Amino acid sequence: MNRRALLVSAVAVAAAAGIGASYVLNNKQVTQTLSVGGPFKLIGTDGQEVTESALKGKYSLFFFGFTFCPDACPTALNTFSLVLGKLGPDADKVQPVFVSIDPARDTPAVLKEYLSSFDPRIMGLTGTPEAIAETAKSFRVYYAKQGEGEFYLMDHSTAIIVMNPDYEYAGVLAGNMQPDEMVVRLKEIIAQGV
Amino acid sequence: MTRLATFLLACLLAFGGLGSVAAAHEQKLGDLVLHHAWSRANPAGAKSGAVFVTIENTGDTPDQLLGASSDVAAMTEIHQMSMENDVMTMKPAGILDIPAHGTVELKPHGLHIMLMGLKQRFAEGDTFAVTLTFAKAGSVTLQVVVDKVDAMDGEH
Repeated sequence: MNRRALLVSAVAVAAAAGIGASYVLNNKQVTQTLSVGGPFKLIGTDGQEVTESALKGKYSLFFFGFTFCPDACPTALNTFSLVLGKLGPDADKVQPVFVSIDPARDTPAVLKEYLSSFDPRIMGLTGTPEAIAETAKSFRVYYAKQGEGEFYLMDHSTAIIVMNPDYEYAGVLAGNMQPDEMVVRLKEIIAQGV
Repeated sequence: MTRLATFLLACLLAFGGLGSVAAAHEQKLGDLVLHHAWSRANPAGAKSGAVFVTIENTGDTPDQLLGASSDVAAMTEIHQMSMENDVMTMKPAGILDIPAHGTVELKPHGLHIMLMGLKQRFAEGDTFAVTLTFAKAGSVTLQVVVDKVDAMDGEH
């Protein structure tokens, strides 16, 4: 994927998040101001603090979801699991990350139990509502509570954002991408050393 | 063992082999035919799940799906999932019209029976009951078959 295509993808993410309209109007401005991903201070599944420094040295794949999600989230996590298996030795260069946008229900323990059904290399992150909001914003990820009471749902972006080993934005993948296609795209990104 | 083998052979002959497994899951309720109710194996600790089924109305009058219930969840509702750009939204679908001589599909990434507050974990091969209530045809209890975690059509 070339740099221009990456920028177009980034704009697609930003536009999907409903905050990128002004960027699209002026392509030059895009190259100067658009950034995706940023520093974060979140909590891992053992209650430990995790920051972006844990992801340096690998291509990290960010998916934002919630465990009360019956469809898109388990599908994406299952895809991550299959992709890690299919990547072979390249799997060591990749770190999938599942960030909960429902921290009220997704405690570290809930996240840990849920992720135990998937590949153990998938990192689960939750945090304070403020820290999650800030992280999602820096990744141009939209989410919103839908409904009330115990069984509320969450609307959320399903794009998978790829960060390179220097923790810089490297591309975006569709959340419903098939595992085989994702393997091909990731191998391309790794080969190009974006 | 021999008795089991005979039984299995009888089943095979009766249903014409694996090709008819889906047909064997058909249930009729008045003019409605409900095709293959299925769900997915779910992750540990999962508190929600979705059930999919195809509802065919063979009659001359429209019907309506009013709601669903199940003992496996604290709350069961008909929901609609939709994707706009890359944003996934889920919300209650309200009453579903089942047109005369029409078919309504509840399937992944679309309409589904949403199970909330799950009381048990489903593994592939499990079955559980969900009751659907229609305005005209009345109620029917479906035997839902649990497929793989990533199944998209519930057919092997």
